[in-house]
Amino acid sequence: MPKALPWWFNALLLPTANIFFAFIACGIVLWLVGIDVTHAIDVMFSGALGSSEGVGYTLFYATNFIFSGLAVSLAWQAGLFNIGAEGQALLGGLGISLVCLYGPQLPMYLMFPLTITIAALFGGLWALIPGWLNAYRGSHIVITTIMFNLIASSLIVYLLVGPLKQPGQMAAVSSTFSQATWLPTMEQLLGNVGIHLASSPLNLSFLLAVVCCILVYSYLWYTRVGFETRVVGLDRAGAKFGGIASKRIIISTMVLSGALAGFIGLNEVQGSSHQLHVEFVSGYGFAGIAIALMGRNHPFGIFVASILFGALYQGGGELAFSDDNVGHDVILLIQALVVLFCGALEWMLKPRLIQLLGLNRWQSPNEAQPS
Amino acid sequence: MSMLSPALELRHINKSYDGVIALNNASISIAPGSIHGVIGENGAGKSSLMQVAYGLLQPDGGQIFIDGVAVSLKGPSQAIEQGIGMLHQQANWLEQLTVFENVMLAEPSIGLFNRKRAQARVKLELLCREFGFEFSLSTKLSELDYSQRQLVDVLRSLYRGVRVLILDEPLALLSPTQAGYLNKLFITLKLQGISVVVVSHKLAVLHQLCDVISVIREGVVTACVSPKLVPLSELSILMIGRELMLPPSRVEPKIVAKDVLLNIQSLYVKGVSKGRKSTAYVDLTDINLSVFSGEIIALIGQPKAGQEVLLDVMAGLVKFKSGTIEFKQRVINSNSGFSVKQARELGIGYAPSPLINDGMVDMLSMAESVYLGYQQQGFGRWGIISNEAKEAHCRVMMENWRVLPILPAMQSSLFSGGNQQKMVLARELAQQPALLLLNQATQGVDASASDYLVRQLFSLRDRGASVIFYSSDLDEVMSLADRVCIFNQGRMVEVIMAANTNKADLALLIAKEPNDA
Repeated sequence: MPKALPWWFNALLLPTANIFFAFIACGIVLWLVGIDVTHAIDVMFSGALGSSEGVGYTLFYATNFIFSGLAVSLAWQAGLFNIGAEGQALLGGLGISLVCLYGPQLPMYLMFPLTITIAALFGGLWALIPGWLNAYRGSHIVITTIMFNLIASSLIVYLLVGPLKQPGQMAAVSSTFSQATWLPTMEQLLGNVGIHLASSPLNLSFLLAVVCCILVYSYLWYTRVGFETRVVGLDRAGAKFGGIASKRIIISTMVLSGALAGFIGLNEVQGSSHQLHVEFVSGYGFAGIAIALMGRNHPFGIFVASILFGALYQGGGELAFSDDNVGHDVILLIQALVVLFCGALEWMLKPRLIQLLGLNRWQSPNEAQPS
Repeated sequence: MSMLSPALELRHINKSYDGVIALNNASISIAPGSIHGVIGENGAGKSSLMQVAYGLLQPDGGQIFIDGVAVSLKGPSQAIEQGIGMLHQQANWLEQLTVFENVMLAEPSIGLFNRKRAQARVKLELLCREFGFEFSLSTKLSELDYSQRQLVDVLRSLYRGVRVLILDEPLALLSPTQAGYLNKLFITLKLQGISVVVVSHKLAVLHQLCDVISVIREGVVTACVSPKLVPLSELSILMIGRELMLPPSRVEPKIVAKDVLLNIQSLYVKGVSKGRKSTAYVDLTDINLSVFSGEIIALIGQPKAGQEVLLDVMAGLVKFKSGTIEFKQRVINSNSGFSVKQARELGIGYAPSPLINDGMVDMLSMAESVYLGYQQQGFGRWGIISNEAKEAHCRVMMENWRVLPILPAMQSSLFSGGNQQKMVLARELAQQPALLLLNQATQGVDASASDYLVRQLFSLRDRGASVIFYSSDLDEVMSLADRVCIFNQGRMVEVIMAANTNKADLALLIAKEPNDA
């Protein structure tokens, strides 16, 4: 009679142990390079979580990671490897910029829903084309989405050196949006209810990210379409037997995935820089793959992984700022090691931990193979 | 033979999973060169016992003896070294590789050296000739059907010098069309001194094939009998404590069927010949069939004669080229865009062949798998459902069909093959379909579940629904069907009232070449 391992084992203990080992490996690398490891840890930790400003930045970065992580994982549930979050985010940002620059003057409670819709629309439509090509023409989603990243970035460059370029400026950036369109920061929002935070770019879209986590979770596990999405991802023959319109599911999932990626624009463009520039996505879309992997394709896992990555981003940035020997590459190093240990070597520690905790009797013969 | 020590003996084996006892002091002894059947209900512990013998499971207590010598098997590789081989319920093959390459996969040391490969090839060719395997070593696996694939597994075991071959529910091998061949194969194995252990629910087949049959009930080996001395009917008493009519007895319909439910006219389906042989099918030509409500129809024929394609067409899985299907006064032609979804909405239920296992999604929980196909109804108007509702729904089915363990949250692929098939049947029957299509429905399902299925089918019929099924088990056909349609190379060559025929005649009709007609 097979009995599963206790739920906390795979969900909590294993990832924690993996991250712990990743950090040890980081420490060894930093030590080899000749950096004072205890100092580095101190700088990173206090930089990311030690002050209310640091926490603000951490959550600000985490917002981007949540959106891109959800985008990648939602597509993955339908068996689609969407590596085009980068381009979809660019398009989302473009849509928001157009509304903020040329759109009507609206109060924030109308403006925010409008920009959400536009970001979703632009990001979603950008993902619709690869989705349609995959469903009806059998083209590979990895190839098409990566091509669409290139097209998107070329399009943005063209627009920013041409029609959208801020007059009288050398840089390829758009004009700054009017202040009425800026998303309120958390500092302002919480200031209204009497909570004082240090100034940071953390803004309203963080709340949207949290809501998206809950929505994606409910969508996938509690609705019919979510069920159909997962069946399509797991077993095409089963989906056919179940009378599920796989093609429609593929397209609609890609659109939703693109919409989520498009929301990165809300945080970065409307929430922080208040103008469109060429590189505002700067790898957040690709990082979504790592986040989805670490979060085990589960929205709540993605939330936790995003906070962790946000902290690493912020802490690593502080470290690079404070220590001349450390470049920004250290962030990439740490991220890479975390992905290596939590993704590629995910099951490495499992048998050992089971032995250590004396959980052997829980393991069924079928459980022994990692799935 | 009694002088020899047993080829394989398991003594006082205990195994429990977290307090639930799977094997309780179970002992079994396999004589050299004997055909040994093992029977028991789904979940009685048959597979666990066999897995202990193959080193896949470590027993909590007890001892294994091979040729009278106590051994401990830490894993399958040690079991193979000791001459134990096993065929699994659902084996994995590399479709695009040849028979030779598939056999050699498990011999990593050989792959690099050509001379050794050539030697291996010679040895395998000898084995093929000796045991009468019909495939050549350079055939791709994708071109073999399921029963031939299982023979490739047998070949692999023979190559490794197997002396006790365990067949765990070899579904495809045990089909009646294969029975004659299997009999010959077993005799050849026996002459070589190789013992065969067959685990199956096909009591009749085992009764005919085996020298000895062991019965397992609730983790205990309760009896070990010789089929020559014990009649078939007593086996079921030994197995479940009551007599089962095998095959289940026929219950005559209460009402005389007269409304036409389904009317198929000059149906033509284009076959698929390219690609994998296992998924290819023949052209279906000029099929005409009227089915009354409250009628049970059997489609029979040799494998790939077209009966399965017709089921797929009616279920909406395969498109037809021309002709019409009229169901409940609704005319469907080839341009109607008839789909699986529409078929279900019209009340057509389908349990696909358990050999292909399309009816389950392996990685989903059982609670979710039982919604496959009925997600529209199951998830309600707004398409939202709670986990509790899903699990409660599944639990009821599991209790009715005696599927163990009753854990709706468990991944569906972790249930035994027989239990998965029971859940597929439970799902389709729960919808009270107007027309139920069954493809080899009782494969791998234990005798009491088959019995339950048959009673369900009769009560479904008595409520005015129709059943169309394909089975290779002619006893089942005779006890269930009102009419029998015989298929040959994509044509429906005969339609006979079951009352006017018998098993022997049907067997002859199936075997007949179309040119003879």
